[in-house]
Amino acid sequence: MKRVGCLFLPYFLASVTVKENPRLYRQPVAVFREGRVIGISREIEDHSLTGLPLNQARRHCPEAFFVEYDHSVHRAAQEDYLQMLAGISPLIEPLDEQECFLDLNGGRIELEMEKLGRWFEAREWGPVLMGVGANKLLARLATRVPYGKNQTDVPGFCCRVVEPGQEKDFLARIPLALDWLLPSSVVEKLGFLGFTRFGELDSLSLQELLKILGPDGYTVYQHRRGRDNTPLLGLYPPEKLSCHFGFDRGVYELGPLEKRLGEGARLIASALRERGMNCRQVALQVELEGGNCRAERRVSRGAGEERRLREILGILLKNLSLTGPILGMTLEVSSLYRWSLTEQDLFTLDKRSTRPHQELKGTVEALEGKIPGAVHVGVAIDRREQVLSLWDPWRFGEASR
Amino acid sequence: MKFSINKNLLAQAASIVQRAASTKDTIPALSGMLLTAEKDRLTLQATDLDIGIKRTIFPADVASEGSALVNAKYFSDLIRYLSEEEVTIALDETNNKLNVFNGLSSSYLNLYNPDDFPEMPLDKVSHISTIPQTILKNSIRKTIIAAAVSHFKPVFTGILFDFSGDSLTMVASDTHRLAVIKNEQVKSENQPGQYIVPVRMLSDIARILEDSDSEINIGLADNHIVFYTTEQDLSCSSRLIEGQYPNYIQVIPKNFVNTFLVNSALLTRALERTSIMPHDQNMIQYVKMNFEPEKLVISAFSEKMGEMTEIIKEVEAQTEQAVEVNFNTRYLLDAVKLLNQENKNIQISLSGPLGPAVIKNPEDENYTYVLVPLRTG
Repeated sequence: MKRVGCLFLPYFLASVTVKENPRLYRQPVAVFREGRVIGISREIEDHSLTGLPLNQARRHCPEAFFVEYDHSVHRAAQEDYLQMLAGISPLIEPLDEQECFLDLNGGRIELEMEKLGRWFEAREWGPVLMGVGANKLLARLATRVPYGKNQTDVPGFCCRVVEPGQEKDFLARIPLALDWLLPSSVVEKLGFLGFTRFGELDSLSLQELLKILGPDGYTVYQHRRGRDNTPLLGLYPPEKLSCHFGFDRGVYELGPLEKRLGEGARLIASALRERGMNCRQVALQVELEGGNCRAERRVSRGAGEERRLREILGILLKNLSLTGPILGMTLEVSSLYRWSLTEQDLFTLDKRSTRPHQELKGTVEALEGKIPGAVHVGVAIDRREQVLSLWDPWRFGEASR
Repeated sequence: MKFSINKNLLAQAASIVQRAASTKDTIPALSGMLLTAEKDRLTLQATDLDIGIKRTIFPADVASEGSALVNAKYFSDLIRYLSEEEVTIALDETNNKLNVFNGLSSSYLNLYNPDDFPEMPLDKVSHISTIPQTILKNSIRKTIIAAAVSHFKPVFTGILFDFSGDSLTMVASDTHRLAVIKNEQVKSENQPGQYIVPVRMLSDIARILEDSDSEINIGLADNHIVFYTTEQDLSCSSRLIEGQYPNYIQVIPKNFVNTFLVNSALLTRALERTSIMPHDQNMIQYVKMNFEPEKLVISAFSEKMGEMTEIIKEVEAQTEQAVEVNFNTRYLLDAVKLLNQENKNIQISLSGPLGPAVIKNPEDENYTYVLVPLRTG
């Protein structure tokens, strides 16, 4: 089953502002952009200022400090956490500065959540809410269910997972107004008819919903069953994709690592293909008790195909000197570019495609003439053996060199 | 002019000749068909100045000789839908109409001025060679697939006729692929020469030619190539494409990394299945072919539809070297479909992942199809 995470930082913009201006600490702060409030601090949460025009918001909450969105500061902070998330998930879809979706398939949620929690707590950006579900609808709604009386009661980092099979029970108590995918007119219409929560819709059949709401009735029907067909669009990072695997007890052998490498290569190749991208840089980072070790490889030809990616990752794994238990592993591809196919012109065909073959043939012939019997074409020879066979003065006398 | 003739003969001839008439209305005479009745025969001809077709049919019961120029399409359509066996056509010079009588039905067609009809270069033809119709038809069919429909270099929108001694080599290419066929059964005047004939003309000729051993002559007249039968009942002329055709011999690879024999029926079916895959925006429809010593893995991917993988195990490889190449699906399928009709196996010789591949019938040395793989970037 697919697992999508929704990360929600309700006071992110205000917290970043406060960190920049310590005099605003514990003061009511509202951040606005283009004449509209886009973020608030927890002190004025009850005023529901988010989304209001600035003038209206000022009238509504005259005691608040209204600070304009600072692209350099806020964007840098957002970039900071998105980069960290990119180390966990190959697909990230930012919704706005305070919220994003991430693909959590393939990893161990518990380990990743712990890591996330520690990272965000250190930043002091207020509570961090993480919802995990089979789709974006469930994941986002999981972040909206109050933990206490209000969001102020939320501890530093909270994760709520909607387990497979529990979707209907979870949704039963969720207000329809929280479903951001439904047009407001649909929510209003249902509210007018006395339906305010998903659970109350059980008495309506699909036909009745279609009759009341038209085509939107089908969306409501699907959402009530915890189904959401909105595709996950990887939009961040534009130049890097990664996939993380955690091993709770530590791994000592290469076998399980290679298996995970294959799995990761498949995930990344599929994510690349969905985006129509290819990559030129592949990296493998392994977490050990004594610290991380990393190996990278840059390739001139795209490495985005699953088989090629697996081959390169296999080589990188062998190049790493691994000692002790392996706690985690991150596969990363970067230098992304749009994948394309071009027709070649037969009459002006790039001779480079045949040149290496001819050059090799010429080199082999030259060497064969120089050192007869020492060159073995098509036979796999150990690199050291090959060098020695050509240059070892003990094997060949002066005459043969 | 007045004559009676078998309706089926006339309909068949009119539908052939009509192909040469212009479909544009700029010069009315070019969209016309000239009917000439003399002695016991009727001659139909049409030309749009680029190509021209002349067909003579007999016997015709000619009551009075003469000629008339009618709209080729209207005339051809009218004759095709007549019901009775015999049709009588008479020119009404007073009203400038062409009356058509068929049983109880009668109709008339408006006429163009026959003096406006351009003269076709058929009288001063110098003979080059003679070839059996079935061989010419087959050669056109096998090469025309590789010609370009439109190209900034006009030579690629035609088929090269390369006469050398007693052989005729026909070559077509759209620069991404090349089809070459060599015919030895040609009676030639022993004068080497290269002529580029437009594809449009040749596709019409291929439809007209019969699957028989009867021969057709090839000749030159001014800047035109003319295909004509010995009995002079059919002549087709076409303006030649001017320009130098690139050296096609040097682009046919001689050295290969590996050569594979693949079951042609299985390959055709597999490629047909992959060809249903829609091509994504700004992408060429392609197949990835992974040639291994004991199998061929064909895969296709489309963001819109999904992924497809086909495995063919009926493969014989010359060496152990595996090669992975991406081909344009349509270009490959064009050749594979053709060769599937001829032999159980298709020979595919590869000169690397980006080098040109040669596809041929292993038992026919005369036909070669060169295809350049797609470059991934």
